[in-house]
Amino acid sequence: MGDWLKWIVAIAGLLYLVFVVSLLVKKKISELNTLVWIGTTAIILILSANTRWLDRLAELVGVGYPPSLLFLFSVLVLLLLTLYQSVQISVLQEKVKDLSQFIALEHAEKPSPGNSEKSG
Amino acid sequence: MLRGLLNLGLDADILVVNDGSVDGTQDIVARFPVYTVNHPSNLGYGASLQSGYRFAAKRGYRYVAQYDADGQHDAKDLINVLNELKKGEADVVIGSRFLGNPNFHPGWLKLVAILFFRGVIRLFTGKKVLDPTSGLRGLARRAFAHYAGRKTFPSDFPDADIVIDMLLKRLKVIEIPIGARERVHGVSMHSGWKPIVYFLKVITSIVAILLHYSIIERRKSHG
Repeated sequence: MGDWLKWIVAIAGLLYLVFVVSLLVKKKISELNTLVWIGTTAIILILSANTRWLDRLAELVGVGYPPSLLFLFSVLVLLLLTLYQSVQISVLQEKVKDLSQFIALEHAEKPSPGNSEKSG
Repeated sequence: MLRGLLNLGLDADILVVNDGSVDGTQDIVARFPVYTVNHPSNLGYGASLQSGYRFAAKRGYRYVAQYDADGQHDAKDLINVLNELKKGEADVVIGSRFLGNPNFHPGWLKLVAILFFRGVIRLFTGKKVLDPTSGLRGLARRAFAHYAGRKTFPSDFPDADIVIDMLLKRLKVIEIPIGARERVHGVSMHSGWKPIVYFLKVITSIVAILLHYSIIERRKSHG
């Protein structure tokens, strides 16, 4: 990696950090999510900055072109994050459903007094 | 539809679940002496059924008979389902369109799916269920009280997956014949690409239920 590219990567990383922290300050993202995003991005940035580490790691696992190892790592991280978000969405869906049903049942409209059976 | 149900003079409370529709259902239903539960937004067919179970569990009913509101079921069949439940032998009564009408043909795509699910149910539970997709069902307290709980019921389309779940829970499931009619009102829940997605979803759900039970059984036998 050339020096020029290194600077671009570093500046992009810093901007990203500022962005995530500003989201946190505006309460648009939870603390736990912030940690996950910052942590994983930090690892990727550190590896991009220290190309020697990356080269050695690539040699160790037998990857011919070191940057592709970085891409693989990034993709895996993103995959994990989207899976985690899928889980969160499903959990939220279930909660919204339960909540809606609870409200709907609380507001059930009643006819004249009923008996002991029900058809619905 | 509702009028037909009311004309039966059933000794039962009727509940209409309005799943967030804004076509005036609420106003029409309000003219009848029935309970209504209005979902604030569209939650899905399964969630609507579950709202019914939760309603029943909350009010301490002994039996629930459910029934799709698109006019494809005959209200009279509900009486048979309820009578069967009252015998106290079964926890779940499924109204089978195949038992009621030997020539019943739901369309090729559906028939293939139903045959497939029959086979799956037979394979994993050893039980014969002819019409696992039927929307007309009756549940005794033991069954609906369970499905009124959290995380027990799919909110989209409970189908053969829930039949397998019932059988694995050792609920007694029986089928009785009901009439089958063409849908009178509304459009099918399953159209376009949806049947394929639906089919895959039910299979995924079945796999999840089977895995869940095999893990629980293993734990039981080890502990």
